Amino acid sequence: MTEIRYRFLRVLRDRGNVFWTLIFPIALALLFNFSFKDLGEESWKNIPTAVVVQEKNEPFESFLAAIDGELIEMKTMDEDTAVKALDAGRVSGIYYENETPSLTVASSGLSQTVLASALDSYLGNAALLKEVAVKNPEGLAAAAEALTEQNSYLTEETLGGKSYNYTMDYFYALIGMTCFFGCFTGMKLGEECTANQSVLAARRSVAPVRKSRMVLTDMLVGFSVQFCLVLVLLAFLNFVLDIRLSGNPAATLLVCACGALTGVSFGIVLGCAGRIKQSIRIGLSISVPLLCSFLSGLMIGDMKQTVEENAPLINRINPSAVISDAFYYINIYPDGRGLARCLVTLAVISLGLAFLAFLMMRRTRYDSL
Amino acid sequence: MAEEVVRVRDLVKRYGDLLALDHLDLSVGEGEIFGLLGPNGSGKSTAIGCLLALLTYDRGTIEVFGREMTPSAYDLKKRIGVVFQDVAVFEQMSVYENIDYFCGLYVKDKARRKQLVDEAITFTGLEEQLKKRPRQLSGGLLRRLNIACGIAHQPELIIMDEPTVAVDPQSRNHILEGIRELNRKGSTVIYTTHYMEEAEQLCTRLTIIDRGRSVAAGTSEELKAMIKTGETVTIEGIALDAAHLETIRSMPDVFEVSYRDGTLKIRFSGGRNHLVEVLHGLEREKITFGRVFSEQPTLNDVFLEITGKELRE
Repeated sequence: MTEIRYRFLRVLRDRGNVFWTLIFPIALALLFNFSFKDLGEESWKNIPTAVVVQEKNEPFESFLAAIDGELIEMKTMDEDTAVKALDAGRVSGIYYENETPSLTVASSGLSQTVLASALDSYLGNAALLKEVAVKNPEGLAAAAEALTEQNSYLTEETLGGKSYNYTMDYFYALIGMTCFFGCFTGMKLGEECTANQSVLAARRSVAPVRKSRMVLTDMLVGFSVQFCLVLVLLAFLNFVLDIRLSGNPAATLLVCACGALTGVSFGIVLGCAGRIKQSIRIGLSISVPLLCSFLSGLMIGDMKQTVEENAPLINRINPSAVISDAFYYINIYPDGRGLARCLVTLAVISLGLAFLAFLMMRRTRYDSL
Repeated sequence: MAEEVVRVRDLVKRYGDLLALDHLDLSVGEGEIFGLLGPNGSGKSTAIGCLLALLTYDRGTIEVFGREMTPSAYDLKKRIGVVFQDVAVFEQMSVYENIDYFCGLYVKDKARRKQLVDEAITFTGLEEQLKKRPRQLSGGLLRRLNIACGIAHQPELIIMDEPTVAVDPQSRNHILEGIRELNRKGSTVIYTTHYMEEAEQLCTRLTIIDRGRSVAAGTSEELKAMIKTGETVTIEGIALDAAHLETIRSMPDVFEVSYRDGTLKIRFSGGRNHLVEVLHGLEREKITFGRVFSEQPTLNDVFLEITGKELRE
């Protein structure tokens, strides 16, 4: 117990390590939230538009009346006034009402494109509207109204019945990356078990403590600290950013625990790899988690799908992708078997790495210290 | 007869083409302060590393307390304490926590451990530093902390690898006195150093090691008796001519005379003191002189005569 207590102290007081393992993911979460917050919820402001009547065109007037207040904010004015308003930016475009209506704009942008699309929509159906105006003038307004409606004949439903927000993939990948960041702590702990890494490790190595116990103690300590940091991240997402993971909380915690254990185990193996130069080990501890996170869609949302199409085995063994899949099974498409597969994969990776670390240290003597 | 605590036979260790240990033989008896004396790069730390089962070696046997020393010999490791040349403590933990942690690797009983830790703190004079972190300590105090972490569990065999390097004289004296105290309490000590004065002051028996091989072994007096050099008399501020120098060279037991810049150095063989004889001779010739020194042979002289080079380059 004494050793466990002091190993906890040693890890918790390494503020630099704790800072980067926690603060970096939180900073990324803030950036994601800032970037994705308003996606799909944009509010629309009607486009201020001038109308200059050069020649009366009833079907066009009915069309403009149908979209006024929905798409545009129409104002009828004479040409001089309209041109001045366009130059001053008070209107985005000028519709000229005549036999063949036209549009004048002063710049190109979203508003101007919308006005042009609306005009194209009218011109494409101008003959129909003229026929309606002749044969059924009472129905002209309704016909113009019908032109403006966007009908969709497909509705989207998820297999699990829950709504799917693709931006959550980024947050799942972020949680996966945070779990994997346990490798930083694991590597420092592993280095302190390997006599040729430091004189401190040599002192621990000459003590009458079995290497298996040393590895297990360090795994327990590293896992506990990393798991707590992941919980802090989850709490931050949930209570500060209002990013809710809607699935089973116990399953969520189990996935985070397995992920943290995997990250720490990987780090311990790196730390115990005494034959590899420290600079290379540090490089691996940074690049491997980031690469795994990249392949699981942290930076490019479609990456995991691309990997699934071209090299699905990578997604099966990439811890970040496995964690992301597990969250998907918990929150979107409840699948007990899929979730179990993910948990077993993480557990096997963790235990395999722990065993590898033990083998690397067991009864080891070094060529030089 | 005292039990043999450490026995090293025919130890060979190579680092690539470099022969670091060349058929090294060592024997350390119970209750000794055994000195391993040699210049930098002579193989002292390598020998210690092999002894502690940290390093591989190519040939030979190492026995501690009568049994082969291996990485999994936990019962042997429990009886050994190590003070490494470099400070080996946790930067994130206080003085007390460091000592308690390392003692805890050897002693599980909480009450006994507390007693041992308190004794180690008193022994190393760290009572006022308990809450400080290593970076807040001076070099000397850091060395004391390093020692406390290595000996807190009161081991039967203590291995100290150059523990006084870069230490101020006050701390060094404190450390040396502490080692004597540990020995008086019953610990066997293996002490490596390249400071001959420390080895002479402290060690009951010595091995001089050079290029991985033991070149001489015995007590300090036994080692000095091995060499021709006896007393060295140095006289400063003296004016001599060739006839005087010839007379001095013809004195009994003189084997080397040097005279330069007004300083005369006479080296005698044998264990007898010759200072009075020299001074009487100068008085007879009515020769005046300045300061006079008489030095008995040192381990440096032993090393120099055996290997042809200084102990400290």
